[in-house]
Amino acid sequence: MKPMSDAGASPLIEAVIRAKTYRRPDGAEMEAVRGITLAIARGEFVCLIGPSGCGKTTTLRILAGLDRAFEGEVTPDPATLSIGVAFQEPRLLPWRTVEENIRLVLPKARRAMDLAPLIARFGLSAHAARYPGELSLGLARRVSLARAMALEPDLLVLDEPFVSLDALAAADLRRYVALAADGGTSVLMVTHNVREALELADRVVLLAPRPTHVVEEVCLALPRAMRDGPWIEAERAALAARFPLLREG
Amino acid sequence: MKLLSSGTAARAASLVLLLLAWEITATLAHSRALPAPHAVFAFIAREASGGDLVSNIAITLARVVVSFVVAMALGCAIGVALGRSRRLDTAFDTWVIVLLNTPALVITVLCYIWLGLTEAAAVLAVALNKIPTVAVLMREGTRALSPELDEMASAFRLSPMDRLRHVLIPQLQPHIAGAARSGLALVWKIVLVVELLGRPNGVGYAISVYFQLFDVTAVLGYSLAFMSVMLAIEYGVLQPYEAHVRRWRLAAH
Repeated sequence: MKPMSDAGASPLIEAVIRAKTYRRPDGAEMEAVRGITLAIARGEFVCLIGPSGCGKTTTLRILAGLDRAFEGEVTPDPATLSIGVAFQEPRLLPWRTVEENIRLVLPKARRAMDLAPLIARFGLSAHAARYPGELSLGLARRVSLARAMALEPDLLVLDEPFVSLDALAAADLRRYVALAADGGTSVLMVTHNVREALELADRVVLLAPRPTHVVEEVCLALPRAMRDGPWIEAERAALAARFPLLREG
Repeated sequence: MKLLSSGTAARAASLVLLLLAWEITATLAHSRALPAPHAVFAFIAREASGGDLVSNIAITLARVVVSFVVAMALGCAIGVALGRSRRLDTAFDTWVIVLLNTPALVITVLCYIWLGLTEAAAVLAVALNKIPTVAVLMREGTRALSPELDEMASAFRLSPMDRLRHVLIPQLQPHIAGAARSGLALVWKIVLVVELLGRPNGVGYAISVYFQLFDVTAVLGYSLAFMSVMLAIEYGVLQPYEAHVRRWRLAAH
């Protein structure tokens, strides 16, 4: 387990969010986050879990450098890291083919590289020349994940990447994420599915309802490959006993 | 393929029917005010070989192209700016509405008065008539831009050039194509008026001369010849362009 061995080293990225407020359309201010400190070690897989609308995505956007209007700081500046993002919706360019969508995000020096091996690794060879509108949601999500991973990023940021997929498609995508994590990529994933977090994460961070803050951090020492259904179920039950918020998960 | 050819056949049949109706009406009316189609086509052939038809059409076409390009470029830039910035839109929305509602004739007369009876005044007059319509269409298109794709572009740190080429322009292309098609029809009609009022050549000028001579055959001949050129541009350039920018939509169905 890499995260444990890296515990003493400086983290890959650390966010201190003292407060984040939104202005609603009616002019009223809404406090989304109140006091979150979140560090991600090199090679660590962190899952943010919390009720819907609690500010998980806000926290993730701040960490990825997509939202800079908050009180606090992220060190180092996210702009200095290579970060691959998979949004909740695939957000592919509908007017570019699958392959063009992936190629476009590569740095100029790697634009011309042969993408066939990566596309094949994601089982997308048959779809490389198709447009996103022709793909199922599961396939489009897979392309979005392949795009994020094509960067070979320091940090992979995933916002509910498996939501509204059927069980088979979700399991399929989880496999790719687990592979990336096993390969040493740091991962920050937002989810509201406790089982999913327990299956993949090195550390699960539980967030409170809005304005959100960290309720608890749970480290999972068992290697990912050894986590089976009964283990996940037992961990989930234990967590749910301590945190009633998680019961429906 | 079969559908396409039956569609073409239907169009051709409808055109023949129109010409036939025209021929019969002209024969029955037997008036100088309504020449028969064969007389009009004969005029076109005569003018094309020995007269000024070709040069007049070329001059008008050049004016159409220049003012169309100017109007599209400025209209797109203004529309995108207004669509992107609420502040700019609040400041200049009234200007656009005023220009949109100023009669083409007034703009043309003022341009000729202020800039003289020059080529620049003619092109400016046509462009000024067209710019507000393009700007309004492009403003709506810009407002419909996807903030999600914008955030994706930021997340993957696309360069400004890549954003423009792969994110912004493809989203605006259907609106650009729509503005271009509606624009071309408007521009060539206004160019004729502008030529009639203050140019010594072009299709509009020729029509005004033949109008004074009460030569309806020539008036119809000129307008028919120029209309054919514009139809060729519509079918040969604009429609293929629109089909090209929409190809990814077709693939999805």
